[in-house]
Amino acid sequence: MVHQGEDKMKRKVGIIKYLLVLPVALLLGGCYTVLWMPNSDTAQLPANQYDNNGYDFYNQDYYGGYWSYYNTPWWVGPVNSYTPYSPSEPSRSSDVQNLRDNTGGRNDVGTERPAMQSGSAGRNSSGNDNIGKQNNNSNNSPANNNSNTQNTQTRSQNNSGNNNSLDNNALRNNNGSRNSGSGRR
Amino acid sequence: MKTHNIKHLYGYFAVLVSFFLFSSISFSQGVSDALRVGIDGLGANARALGMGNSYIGLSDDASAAFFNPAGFGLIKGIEFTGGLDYYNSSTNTTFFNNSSSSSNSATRLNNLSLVLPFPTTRGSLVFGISYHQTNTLDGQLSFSGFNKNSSFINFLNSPPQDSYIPYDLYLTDTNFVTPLTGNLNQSGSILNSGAINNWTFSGAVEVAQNLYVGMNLNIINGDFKSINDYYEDDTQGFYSNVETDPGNPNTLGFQTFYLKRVLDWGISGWNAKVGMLYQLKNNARIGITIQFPKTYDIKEQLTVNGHSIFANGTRYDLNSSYYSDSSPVKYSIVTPYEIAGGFSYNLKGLILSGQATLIDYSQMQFENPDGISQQTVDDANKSIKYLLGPVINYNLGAEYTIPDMGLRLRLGYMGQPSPYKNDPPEYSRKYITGGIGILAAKTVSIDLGYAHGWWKNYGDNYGSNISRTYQDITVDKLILTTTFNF
Repeated sequence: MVHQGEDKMKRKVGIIKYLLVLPVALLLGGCYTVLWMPNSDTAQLPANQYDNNGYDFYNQDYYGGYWSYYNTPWWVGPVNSYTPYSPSEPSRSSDVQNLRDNTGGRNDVGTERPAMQSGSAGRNSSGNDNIGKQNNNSNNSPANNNSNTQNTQTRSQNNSGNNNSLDNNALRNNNGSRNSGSGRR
Repeated sequence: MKTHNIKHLYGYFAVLVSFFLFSSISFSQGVSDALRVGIDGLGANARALGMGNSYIGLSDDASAAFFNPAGFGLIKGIEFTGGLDYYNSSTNTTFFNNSSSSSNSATRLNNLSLVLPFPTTRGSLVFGISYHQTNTLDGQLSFSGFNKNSSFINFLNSPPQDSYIPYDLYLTDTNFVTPLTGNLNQSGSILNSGAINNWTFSGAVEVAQNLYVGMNLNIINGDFKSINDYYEDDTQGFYSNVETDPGNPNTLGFQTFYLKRVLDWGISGWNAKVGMLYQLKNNARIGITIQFPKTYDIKEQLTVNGHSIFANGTRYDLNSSYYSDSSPVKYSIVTPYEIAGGFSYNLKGLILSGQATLIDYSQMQFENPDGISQQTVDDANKSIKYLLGPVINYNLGAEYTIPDMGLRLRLGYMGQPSPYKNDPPEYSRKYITGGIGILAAKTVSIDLGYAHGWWKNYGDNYGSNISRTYQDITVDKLILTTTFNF
C-alpha cells in the first residue's frame, strides 16, 4: 500500500514537472507573444498595435462575409463592417476587345497577323483570357417471475460472517464483460 | 470445505468473521473495469465528431480543451459554446444459439465552454474553461438460452467462489452439495448507464510565429451504474422431482434462481495534457499532444439481492446485507500515456485531416485499494499485463464549405483497435461520421455531428466460455453544438 502511494506521488510530481518545465523554458528562451499591458494614461485596447503577420488557414468561403471578423482579434477593431462576398463573381475587365465583332462566326486564328515565315502556324488564343476568370481567393426475460410467492424465508441467519466475504468474488462487476482472470484461455 | 460437517462449519464461520473484520475484504476487480474508463469516448464537439474526431491538427475552437489545448492559441475572439448530445447503444446478443436485442439511450448536456483571448500586441495568449463530457458509459445487454453443461448456481457453490448464496437459497443440502449443475435456461439483462465529464482549465500561447503550445488540467467527475438481473429457470422440468435440500419438502421442484447485482460508481480524478500546434503557411497545420495518465478514483458500492422459487410457491430471499458492501470500496484506475499526432490541410476549401494515437493499454493499473486487498489489485494488474496490449487509434476527416451557401459538410472515420492482444479486426471499434455546420449569423454558428459505430465483443456470465454472450454492438451519437463569438 505504501509502495502504491509512493508511485502515485512520483507520477504526480513527474507530471507537474512536465507542466512547469514548459513555461519556464518559454520564459528563458523568449516568447513570441507580447502581452498588452494597460497603460495608465490610455487604458485603451491595442487596436492599432496588433502585429498580425501570421498565416490564415481558412479561405474566405469558410466565413462567408465575416472572414475579417473571425480573423481579427476581438480587441482590434473596428471589424464590424460586413463585406458581402460572392466567390463566383468574375473580376471585371475593361478590355472589351473580345466582345467586339462577336458575330457568332469563327474566331479564326492567325488572322490578326500574318503567319510567321518560319515555324508552324499555331493558333493564337490570346485576348480571351479575361472571360470567366475567377476571383481567386483560394489561398486563403427474465422468465418465471413467480408472483405466487409463499413462505418467504431467509436461510442461515446466523451466517453473519459472510458480509463482504469471498462470496463477492463472483458477483462484482459481472456486468456482461469479460471475466479477465480466466477469460481468455 | 463443502464436505465439512455443518457443526464444524459454524465454528469455521466464527474464525472467518474475525478474519474479515481485521483484514482487507477480497473481491474480484476486472480488466473490463479498467477499460470502461480507459477507452476514449467520442468527445463533445459536433464539428470534430463530423470529421471523425480527427481534430488534433485543427482544434481552433473551444473543443481544443478535449483534443489539443494548443489550438486555443488560434482563437481570436471571445467564444462561448454550449451543446447537448443524444446517444443510443444497441446490442444483438447470441447466447446458446438464441438471439436477443436490446438498446439504451440517453440525452445529456455535454458541453459548456468559455474561451478568452488576452489582448496582445503580437502573438496569442488564450485561456479557456470548459465543462464537457468525454465518455458515455451507457450500454445494455439481454440474453436467454438453455445451458446443458453448467449453472451459475453450481459455479457459485464451487471453489474458488465458495459462495453461500446457493446455500442461503436452499439450493444445496446442508453439506453444500447442489444437484443444479446444468440443464437450466439462463436469461437476464444488464443495463449500464453513466458518463464521465471534465472540468477543464486550459491555456495556450504562441511561442514562436505560428507555433502554439498549450496545456490543460482536467478535473474529472462522473458516475456509472450497472444493473444486472440474472435468472436460471428449470424450463424443461429436469428438477421437478428433486429436493435441492433433501428432507425439506419446500425445496421440491426447483423453478427459479434470481440474482440481482447493482454496481454503483462515483468517479472522480484528474489529468493533464500538453499540446503543440504549428501552422505551415496558409493551408496546413500539424499538431502533437501528450495525454498524461488519467487517475480515476472510484468509489464503488455493490448491492446484491436474490431469491429462489420452488414448485409449491416457496420463495427464499437472500439477506442482502450479507453480500452487499456495508460501506463503499475505493480504488484508483490509472490509464496509460496517450501520444498523438495529427495534421490538417486546406485544399482550396476542402479541409482534410488525419491523426493517430498510440495507447499502450497494458500500462493501465489499479492502485490505492481501500476496502480490497493489495493482492486483489496485484492480480488484476497482472491480468491487464497479460491480456492487453498497445494499439494505434486512427482518425480521418474532411470538411467542405459550399461557397454560395456557406454550408459546411463533413465526413469522417475513426478506428479504435481492441485493447485485447489477440482480438481479430471485427472486435475493433469502427465509426463513420458526418455532420453539417453553418454560420447562422455573424456571431453564431450551429453544428450538428453524427457518428455510427459498430464492433463485436463477448462476455461471460461466469467462468470462462461456459456461459458466454456474443455481442454485436452498434452505437449512434448525435451532437448539437452552438457557438457564440463576441
